[in-house]
Amino acid sequence: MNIFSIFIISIKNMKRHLRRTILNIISVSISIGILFFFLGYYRGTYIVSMRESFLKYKTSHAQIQTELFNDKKIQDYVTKNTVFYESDKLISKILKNPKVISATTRLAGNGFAGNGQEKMIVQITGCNPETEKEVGIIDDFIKEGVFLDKQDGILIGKKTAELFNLKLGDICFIQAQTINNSPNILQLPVTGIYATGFYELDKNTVFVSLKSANALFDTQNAVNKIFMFFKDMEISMKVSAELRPVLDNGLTIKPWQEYAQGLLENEKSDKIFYSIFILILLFIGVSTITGTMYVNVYERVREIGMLRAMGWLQNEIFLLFLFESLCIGLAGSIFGLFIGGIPTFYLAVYGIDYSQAADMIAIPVFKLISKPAISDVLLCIVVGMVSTMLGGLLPAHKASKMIITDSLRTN
Amino acid sequence: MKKTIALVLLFALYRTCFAITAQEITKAVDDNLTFNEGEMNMTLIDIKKGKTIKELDANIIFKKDKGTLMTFTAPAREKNKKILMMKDNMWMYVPGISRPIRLSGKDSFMGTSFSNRDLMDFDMNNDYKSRIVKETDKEYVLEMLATNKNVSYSKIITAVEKERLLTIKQELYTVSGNLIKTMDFSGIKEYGGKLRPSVIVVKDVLTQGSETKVIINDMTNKEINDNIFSPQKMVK
Repeated sequence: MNIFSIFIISIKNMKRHLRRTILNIISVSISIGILFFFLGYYRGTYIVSMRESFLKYKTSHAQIQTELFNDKKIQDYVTKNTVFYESDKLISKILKNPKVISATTRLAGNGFAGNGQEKMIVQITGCNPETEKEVGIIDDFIKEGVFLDKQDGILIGKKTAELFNLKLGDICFIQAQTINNSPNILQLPVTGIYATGFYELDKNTVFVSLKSANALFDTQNAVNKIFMFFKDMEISMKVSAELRPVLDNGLTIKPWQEYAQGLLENEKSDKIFYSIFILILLFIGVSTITGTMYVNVYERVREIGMLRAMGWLQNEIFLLFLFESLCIGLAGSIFGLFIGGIPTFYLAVYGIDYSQAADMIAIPVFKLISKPAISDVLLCIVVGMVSTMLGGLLPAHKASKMIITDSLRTN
Repeated sequence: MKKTIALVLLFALYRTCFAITAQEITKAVDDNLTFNEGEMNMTLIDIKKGKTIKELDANIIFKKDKGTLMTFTAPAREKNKKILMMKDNMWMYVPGISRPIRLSGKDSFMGTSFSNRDLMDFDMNNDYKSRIVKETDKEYVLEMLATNKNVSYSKIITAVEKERLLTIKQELYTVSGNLIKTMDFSGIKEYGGKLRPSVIVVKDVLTQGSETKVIINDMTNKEINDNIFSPQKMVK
């Protein structure tokens, strides 16, 4: 009997045992659906969403700063050794690299914000309103008023506004040490109130224009950071190396990986946890599929004996069950990809806002999203088919080896 | 007529030559405020919304151009903490910590409205150029502009009592021209033969309703050994 005839018979067999076939396909598809959903969810939420949010909020793809700037020493953010000038010229040089999409300057330092009655420690971030709007995340979270514009003003978080009972147009005091270490005060009207749901931003940070920050820190037109975004976060090391020769003496460029050690460490430990989780999921999936197929074949020992009595060879029976298993595996995998694909599609297109967890994970914007890859589809199909093959072939092999009379006697 | 003009000119010349200058007033105020060397005990009270938040007692040993050493005597948890200022350098020693910690002169003094330098450095004459902006029967009002960027305040408006050349009030301005603190001086008392204010109240513009009060309990003029002004000596 040729292979094609055996294949046709296997299809007919599946039709003949339609209910069993459907149950087998459902069993395979549930396991594959969960696997497919989870792979996309893990990549989307834990790798893309978290990283992108963190990079956009805190580190960008790479930063330029002086060699003596130490991110951990907040009290020394604005000193003669940590600020630099003529950033516009540098930015125009940087933007000549086609891989650099945007760059913005900041002058951030420690200080106080208050309403004239009370004050508290905050990080005062001076930024270029035009470029910051494109690059930063605050503009997306303005609840009242507008982002910083040409007029002098201050953007404060919702929690700061509530704490000091500040409303739009009210005067907010900001105080900081100048670059010469003298105390300085500015009084700025509140032009916008934002709410990200992230405590560090909503309470501990205020935004002013670069001009105001320079007036506060008495730094003329200095900055202490240039934030840059590239075409892809993965090329940050390569582009940083390309930009290094453009920098003036005393300046350095650091890709985001150098700032995001904590995030990468977390990702690493999460990866171990989720790898174990995926392995367990795989094991459950494979064993469920294998078990189902095993029972499926074992119930048909008598049928196998009959085929053998009719003159079917052992390898022909083996091939018959191989085709059946492959067809169930393939159908189950495709159906599973469809089942898993529905929530995956929803998360990939819309996502679920989960900002209330922002404080817990120290990332301001957190969305549950999915980012499936072609490799996920291939992996799911392979897992589905290999599992069904394993489940089908072992009992088929065993049954085909049985003595015909014994097989026929089986109930 | 010529005689009258000559007399007027002569009087004007006399006024110009012999009137006290702003710089002389500043120097006199500095001299009256403290001795060249000596020791004083003070109490510092931090008040927020009418309630006393913190009360510190300290002993201060000072010598012009050498340094100022402050040792806390109360409360118990602050006792024996020391702050040393030598020119622009400042250290703090906390018992139990092996080495003194470096401080910035412009940082808040123990969380109060004073900066460290406000309390440790009384000599304004060297750092500010003064001019009289107003003169009444009872007081001079001086505008003092910083001559260098190493000082805490770029401008100080000082009201000085004319008779005794003692500071009555100071308004401290930042480099952006905004008022940041006011200081009121009162309770004139005699210390070691010198009259000086015994109470200084500082108010922070950013925390209205809060103030820090310094009460000078006593001050003596005595010889001070230079050797005590050393960070290494703070530990001993």
